[in-house]
Amino acid sequence: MDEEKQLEQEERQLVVFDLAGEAYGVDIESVQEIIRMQNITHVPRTSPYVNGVINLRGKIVPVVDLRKRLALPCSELGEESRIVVVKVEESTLGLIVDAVNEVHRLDDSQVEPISPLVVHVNTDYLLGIVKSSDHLIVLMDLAAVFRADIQSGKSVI
Amino acid sequence: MKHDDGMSKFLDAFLEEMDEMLQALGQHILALEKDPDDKSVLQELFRCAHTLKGSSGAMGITIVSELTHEMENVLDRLRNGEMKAGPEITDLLFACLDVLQDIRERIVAGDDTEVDISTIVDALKRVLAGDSIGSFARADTAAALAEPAAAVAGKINNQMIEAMQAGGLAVYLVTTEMEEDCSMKSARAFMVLNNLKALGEVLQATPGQEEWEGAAAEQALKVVVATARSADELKIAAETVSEIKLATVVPYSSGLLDNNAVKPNGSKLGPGIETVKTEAHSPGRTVGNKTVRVNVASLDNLLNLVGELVIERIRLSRIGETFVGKYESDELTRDLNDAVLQLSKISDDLQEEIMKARMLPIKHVFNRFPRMMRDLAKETGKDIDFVVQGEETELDRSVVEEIIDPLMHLLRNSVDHGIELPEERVKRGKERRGTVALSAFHAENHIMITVEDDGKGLDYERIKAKAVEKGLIGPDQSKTLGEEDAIELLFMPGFSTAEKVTDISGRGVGLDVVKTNLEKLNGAISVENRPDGGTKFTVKLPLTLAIMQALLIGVAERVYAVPLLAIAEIIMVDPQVIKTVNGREVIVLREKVLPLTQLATVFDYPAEPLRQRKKLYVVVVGTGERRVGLVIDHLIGEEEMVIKSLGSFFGQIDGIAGATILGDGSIALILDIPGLIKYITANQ
Repeated sequence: MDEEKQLEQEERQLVVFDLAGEAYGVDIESVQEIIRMQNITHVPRTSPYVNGVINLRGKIVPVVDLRKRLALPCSELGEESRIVVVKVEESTLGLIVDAVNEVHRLDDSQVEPISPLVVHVNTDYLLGIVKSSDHLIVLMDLAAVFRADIQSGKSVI
Repeated sequence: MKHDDGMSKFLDAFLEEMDEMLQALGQHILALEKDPDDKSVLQELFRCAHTLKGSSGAMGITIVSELTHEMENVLDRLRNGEMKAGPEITDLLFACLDVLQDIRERIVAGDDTEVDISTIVDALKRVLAGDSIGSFARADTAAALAEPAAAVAGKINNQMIEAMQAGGLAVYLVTTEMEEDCSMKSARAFMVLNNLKALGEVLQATPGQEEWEGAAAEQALKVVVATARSADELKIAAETVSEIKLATVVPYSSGLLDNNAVKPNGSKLGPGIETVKTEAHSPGRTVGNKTVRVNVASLDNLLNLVGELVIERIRLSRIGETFVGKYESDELTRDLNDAVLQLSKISDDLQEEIMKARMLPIKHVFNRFPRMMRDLAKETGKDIDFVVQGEETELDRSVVEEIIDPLMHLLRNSVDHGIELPEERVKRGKERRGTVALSAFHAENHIMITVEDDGKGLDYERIKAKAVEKGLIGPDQSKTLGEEDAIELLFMPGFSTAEKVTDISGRGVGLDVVKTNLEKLNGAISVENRPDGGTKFTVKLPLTLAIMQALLIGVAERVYAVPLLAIAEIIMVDPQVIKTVNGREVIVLREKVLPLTQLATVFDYPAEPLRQRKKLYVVVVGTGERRVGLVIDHLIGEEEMVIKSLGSFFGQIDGIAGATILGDGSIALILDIPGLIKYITANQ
């Protein structure tokens, strides 16, 4: 049991994606799948960063423009744009990212605290920075990013 | 009794039976109140109490068995005619029922706190003590019987059997033997008994349920059943219970049980006695009413999966069509399309079958009302005959759960505001006793439920006066309002005609809440009124909440679905006739002002000003004061759709009820008309 835990800690995997010129990583455990851009049905009177909903094999899944959500500069969707379908707490969400790069293996010792100077995103949403051989990956805390949305959604239901 | 894993299954079965018994008790006590001398009702009451006592004993739930034991004593006295079921006794029985209900709810909730039954048990004992001669006689009979359990189980006599046989029922003796190392014998015996009860009336069981715990559990269980079913069916019912080694079924003749003439292994059966071998029954054979209990969540899940299957099937058929276009002559294409066709048929059947599995008779809702009406009548001093019709009408269980509160409210209203006091009724030349009828029936793929009373009806002038007083309408407006509009006032928030705030209605929850709740279910409510003759409320609801009939419309290049039930009418309007009143665009439709709203604007999409368009499609929704004309771009068509939630991420969006997936895989949002109207009126 303990050994397994240790292993888990030693080897974490991140799904790394591009967003406004920077590499962000989220835990692979929270990623359900990565899909190409598809028709998104707009839902009126929702937050500006919510693009709408998609039909994911019969399930209605909300899609969020992650750039807008993190107050990063907007851009057009490109060939490389993808929807990363994640599970945050009990909600399934699609996140629009510029491109998905790799699955990165790391151990916790590689994670370093964030300096607000290096990143453009509110540090409350971040867990740390991982130094890879040639670049930096910013570790994103999805639960923190969407906590407010999910709670306000729950309170009505 | 030890609680192990297998226990919960038995507990579920027990709770279900308890619920059934409590409902039956409620009905029979009501019947007893009407006719205190009805022996068959007393017999039924006794049977219910006895069943509960036995099964609760087997489950080790002593407070229930203790209480039902005392009830049984009183009921026994009643059915023997040694006591009379006056109002005091029916009230006491109702009180017992309440306590039992409470205990059941606690068990369901997993609440371990002991319910104090001493008061009610004392009351029952006091009732019993009122008649000492009877109790003496009773003790005599009991002593005469070798098995104390038999005394309570009801002695079988030839008269009884003859009566059963005269009624076209056959009486059988079912003997079961359990595996020697079988655990929880008493619970299994309980299951056997339960299964047999489903098929007929259990006249006697030995050993009695009280003894199952002890050494008696080692014996074979013998049950005498009167039934219209065959011996085979009884046998199968008994053997369905696991670890029942053998069940024999023989026609019962008097003395059979006492003399122990029948050996469970069936080696010495008399003439005319059938034995059936114990092998698993042959496939294809069905036993009447065989059911399994399924978790609601898993039914919901099944329905979802079928929904997805249907969507994928539509995708496949589209691919098939493309293939035909490309390689028409190909044999494979034809095979593919055949397969798709077959798949469509199967998925349609599957969907229908699952919808059917989710259907429940509305009895489950209606059953709780007779008691409520009785109590209400007592509280208000009114004399009311409560009539229930169409209890077997089926509807989806999702709807069943949602209509309890609205119906309860309507029924309370009819007692409180509809039916007059007996003296007043007599003065008006009516029968002293008022009638409230609750009926259900199917119409146009919907379920209609009516609540009708023969009370004083709605007084239009009083309603209008009240509305003026509450500031809902101005005094001038009141004069011009017609009868229909006056009725609409009833459904306005903040309206309540109750002169005094009673315990029954007028608790701040008005008909507006009833209406809003029904609209949330895509239902509607209407009123028919005969002043001095009564009121009839009709509730119209879809059979299911999972599938809905809707109109697809186009707004700002997007497709939306409008529940068909919410649409009053669809009209085509020439922009020339639009007038502006108080800065709002309106038209006059059948002499009434109808405000127009562009749906696109409501949803913050760009929209062309109304007057610059050529023709306007207007979907009229809502009723009376809350009527709104929604201007849309075009109509697409009517479709049946599976309703899906947008999920917790969005929470509540005013005006959007959910989404559906269309045949081409795209999503259409479903409008929430009551929410939309609320939003529009708030943002005028």
